[in-house]
Amino acid sequence: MTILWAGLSVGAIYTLVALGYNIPLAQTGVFNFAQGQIVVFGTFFAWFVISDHGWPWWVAIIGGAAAGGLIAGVEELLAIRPVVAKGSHALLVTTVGASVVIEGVLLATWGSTTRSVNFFAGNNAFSLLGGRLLPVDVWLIAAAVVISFALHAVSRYTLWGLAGRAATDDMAAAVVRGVNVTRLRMSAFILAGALGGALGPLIGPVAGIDVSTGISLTIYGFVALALGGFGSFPGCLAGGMAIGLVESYASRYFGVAYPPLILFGILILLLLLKPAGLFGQRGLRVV
Amino acid sequence: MYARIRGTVAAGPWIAVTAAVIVAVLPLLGVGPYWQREIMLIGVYTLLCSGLNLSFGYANEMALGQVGMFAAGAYVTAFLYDHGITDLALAILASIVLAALTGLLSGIPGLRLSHWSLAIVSFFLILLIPSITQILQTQTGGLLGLPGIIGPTLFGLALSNTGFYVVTVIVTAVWMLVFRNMIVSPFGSSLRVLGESSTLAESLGRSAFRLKVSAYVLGALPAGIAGALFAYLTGFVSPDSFTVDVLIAVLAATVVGGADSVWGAPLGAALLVLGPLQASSFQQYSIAVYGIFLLAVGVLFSGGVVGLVRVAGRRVSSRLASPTAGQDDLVLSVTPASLPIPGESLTVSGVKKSFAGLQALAGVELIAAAGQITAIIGANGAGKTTLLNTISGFLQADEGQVKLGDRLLTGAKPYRVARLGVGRTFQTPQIPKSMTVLQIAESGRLQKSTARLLASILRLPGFYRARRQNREAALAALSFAGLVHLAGQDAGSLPLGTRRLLEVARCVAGAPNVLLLDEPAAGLDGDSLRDLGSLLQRTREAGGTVVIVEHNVPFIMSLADNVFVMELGTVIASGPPETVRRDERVIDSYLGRRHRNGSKLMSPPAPVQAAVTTKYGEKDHMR
Repeated sequence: MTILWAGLSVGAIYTLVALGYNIPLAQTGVFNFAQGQIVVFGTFFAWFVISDHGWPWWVAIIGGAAAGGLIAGVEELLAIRPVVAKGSHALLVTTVGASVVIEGVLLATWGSTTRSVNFFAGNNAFSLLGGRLLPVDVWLIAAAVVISFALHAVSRYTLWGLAGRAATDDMAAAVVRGVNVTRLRMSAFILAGALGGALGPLIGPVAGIDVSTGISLTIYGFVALALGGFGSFPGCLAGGMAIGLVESYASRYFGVAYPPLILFGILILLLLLKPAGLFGQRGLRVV
Repeated sequence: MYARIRGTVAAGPWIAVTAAVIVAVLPLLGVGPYWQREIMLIGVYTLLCSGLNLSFGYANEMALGQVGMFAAGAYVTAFLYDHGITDLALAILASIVLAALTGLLSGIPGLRLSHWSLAIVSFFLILLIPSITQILQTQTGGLLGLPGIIGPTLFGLALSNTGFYVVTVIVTAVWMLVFRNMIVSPFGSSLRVLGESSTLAESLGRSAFRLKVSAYVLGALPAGIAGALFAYLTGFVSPDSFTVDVLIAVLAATVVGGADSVWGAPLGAALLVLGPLQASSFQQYSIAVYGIFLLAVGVLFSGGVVGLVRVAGRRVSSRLASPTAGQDDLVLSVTPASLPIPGESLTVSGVKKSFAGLQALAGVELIAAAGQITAIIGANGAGKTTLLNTISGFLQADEGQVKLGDRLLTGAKPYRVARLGVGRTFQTPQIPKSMTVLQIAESGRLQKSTARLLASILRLPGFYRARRQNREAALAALSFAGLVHLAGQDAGSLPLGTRRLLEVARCVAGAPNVLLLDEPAAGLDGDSLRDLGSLLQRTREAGGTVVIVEHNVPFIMSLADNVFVMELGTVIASGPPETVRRDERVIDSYLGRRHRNGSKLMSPPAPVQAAVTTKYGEKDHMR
């Protein structure tokens, strides 16, 4: 049962990264490779605010959201807007570039040593349904569930979500109907960036605060997204939890070297057999 | 101008060979171990970048598996060394084989994916390296790696440090020549075509998937070689050498040098080792610098440094050369032979196709006779383009069959259909921007290109023979279309009408047994319409079977031998233009009443007449 809780906790992190990918994807069909690195920025920011300066945790959340939103907004302006018409090949170069710039600036300002941050609601492990877990695990799982369904509701029931679905379905038709796609993309990037930046106090204690976690978060977040289905927010939750569990059980029973291989196999099989994922929209297969 | 460009291209390899010889003898001029090492590193990165150029730059695939293949090469070299095999040639050979296998294993599933999925899979491949080395701990040394890979031999002789340096330079130079010959060949053209659109590649007789896999696997070869050289260069192999940062650095070097160019690879590699991308001098900031370069190149100049030089060179040469001088050379250098087009009859019988309940084709019967122009007309939604797509294999018919001569086309994939002798054009012209007009016309012959890749790499006589044939056919087709004077121009700068004409000329150059043209006259003005008319007439005279879907009724009625009129997925009338024009059902369904009341459209219209679409006719009638 402890393995189950650990898997769900890690799965919640992958879910949160996948949600950050999915917001711009569902709203405007753009994939933001730098999202994982923004999440890493959030963890460093949490260390900076809570451990380094001793300020309260909510400062890290609010400040992280503001800074993350700003980073993503600047990225949209510099790396996405000028090349979005050139297609995904150009976007690959610029969003990988943006991700690397964020990584490089983190390295230059806060160094390559691993940092740590204590969870704000205590570190006393307790038992639940026969497994041991920490308060941070509960918070992470709850955050993943709540945010997934909240974003799902926003996407289904607000005008903003409707405009996004129109834009990804048929960009030209949406523009003709008066949807400002540029503003839509900017707002989606800022929301995703804010989400990534805000979660440092939750993700930091579990994932560790280290620049090198960026690439794993980037890739496993993508696997979660692909498994759940491009464009679906509850899909991100299902996908994230599933790969968290696979990782947790595979490390326990086969050894730590095996989860990447198993997840790689799952990703390849999935993309070949069910490219839209479990809950995905067919139209977003362009990813 | 063209001759000048061709001269530079032909001189490219000799400049490169001279440069390589000079670099190889540098130790004689007193260049010491430090600089030898730097130059060898440039060689290693050159190999990596050129591999990335093939799949990422030319084929436009987001396949970035180079670091995985690099690691495969390095590890197999270290493994052989630990088992007493120190021969560098053997190590390189084994590295090539293992890298190619890695490429095949990751490429065959990976390349079925598109865009981002493929990119992520390539990044994921790198995350697997530590896992695999841990699982194969005894062979790979796990996370600690394999140290002490020192002292390679070559054919039984021990190589000194300088000897190893010379071998590295030669191996890199040889690969670059192989790579250059690969790109300047029909294979290179098909990669560019694939980079523009896989639909276009298929319609020109190349399987898009097989092309992608070959570009990826061929791109694995230099990465494998680089791995073997790297193992002996550093004397140590561990997972730390094969990280995402290496991929980022190589990607940055590739795009800065110019991803779709041959000589961008050494340039980018040199910048990586010596120049502003230099990793060691400002370690702390180097990662951010790579990122800034990726951003800047991606946003500002997607052709990289070589792209900038190319643009600048073109401006200078267009200022220096008089606009026509060089082009005359070109026409004279190869006399366009007359281009025989072996037309065959196309038979469509009982073809049905529906899309989720909508019957787009409801049993189409159509025969296009050899050596004739057969027109298909009908209102929008009548199923004309669906019919063309079904004939050319992009859609599969639910029922019925299509035959060309006595060969069955039904059920074949698009590239097979193209090889069976079907050429086609598209409603929206598909013209790769990075190629010249002549290269595009030549690409119409990709499906019958007899020169094998190996013949192209080694520049065997077969390669030159095929090239001459292709050039003659392409020039003949261009002269049919009145486009010869544009042969050396970049296709990206052409206006829409010319692009449409060029697309038909590309199709004609392939001398297919039947040409399917989808609205080639749409948006053409008087002069280009006349050019198109004469191109079609000369194609018919050369023996070609032309099937043409067109809305410009006056234009097509004056050209066609036979007209089929479609409505709601069936043929409602067929016959010579005069018969069809008088058919009651055709008038009701498509031509409109005005045609009957002796308007000027009744008289046989000249092809130069401005496009009068039937929609206007209908509107007039309703008024």
